[in-house]
Amino acid sequence: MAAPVRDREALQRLSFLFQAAHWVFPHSPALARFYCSTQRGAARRLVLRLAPSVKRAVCRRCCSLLLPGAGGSLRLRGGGQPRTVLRCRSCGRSRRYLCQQEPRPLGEATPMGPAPEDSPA
Amino acid sequence: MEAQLYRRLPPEEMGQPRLQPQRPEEAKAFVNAFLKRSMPKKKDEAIQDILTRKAVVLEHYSKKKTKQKRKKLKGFTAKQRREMHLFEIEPKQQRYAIFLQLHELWKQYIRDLCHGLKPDAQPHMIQGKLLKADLHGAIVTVTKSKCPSYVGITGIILQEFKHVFKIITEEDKLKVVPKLNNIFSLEIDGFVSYIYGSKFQLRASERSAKKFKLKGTIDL
Repeated sequence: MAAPVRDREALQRLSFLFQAAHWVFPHSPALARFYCSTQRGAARRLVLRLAPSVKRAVCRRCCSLLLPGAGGSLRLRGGGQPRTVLRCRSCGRSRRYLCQQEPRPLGEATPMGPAPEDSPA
Repeated sequence: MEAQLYRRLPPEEMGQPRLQPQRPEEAKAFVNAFLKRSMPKKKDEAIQDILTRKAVVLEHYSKKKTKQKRKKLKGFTAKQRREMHLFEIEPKQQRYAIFLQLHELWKQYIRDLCHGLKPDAQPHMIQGKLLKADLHGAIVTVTKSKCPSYVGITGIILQEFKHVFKIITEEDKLKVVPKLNNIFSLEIDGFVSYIYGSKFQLRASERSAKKFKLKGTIDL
């Protein structure tokens, strides 16, 4: 298809920014925040769809990386339908999601998270 | 003093005819007669109509809407953003060596973007892709500049702002280099390209959306 060709470069850029943010996170969460906000700004400009897993890893308000160990906390709140509550530690904003399987038809290329070998051990 | 003013009049003075308190019917009649005299042009019935139906608006209060509170909750004030975002060299451990790994990641990304090292011709294509590519983590040198003190600064781009690059040099110094009137040179696998900073005065996120046109002279 001709449509994703233009997008591919942009999507690569977004995924690069995301990976770079994960890379820098242990050294400087502020830099990770900067990269994530650039990523979000670029996605907004080009009106691109981000995979929900990517969206949820970035706090909507302060753009910091939410990693359940370091950046944000992850809780499971029960009830009839269990929900995961992600809470950003830097700005205190919390998001609730229903625990669901996501059978999304990934027709377009979506940016993926970092490969496990890349992140610094 | 005031207590004496506001006391009731003693009954002797009340007895005099001119200070008679009016009863409600007399008061009404008085008001009607007064109004009729002061509005001679209109007919009696019209006056009666006006008096009975229309309400006289004395004062008008409008409620002030408190919508301002909502907006601040979602966003952030510039002050708060300033103290959070920027990369302060928190611990002075931000060594160059750490960011070399970031540079490796960047090289991989660019190689992936261009599909190979240097396939003979097509500098055109590569330049086009570089324009939209992300420069965080690239090793960059200032080759030409209007201000001679900037020439020769080499380092890894950490942050890209609207008019400025933040570069960390090999001596672990964070340098803030303006884009205006500066030419940066970028090297990948033997492929050197020059970035004219004056044309690049855009935020990183906006650059991927912008189409570049050739305007004016490219030189310094």
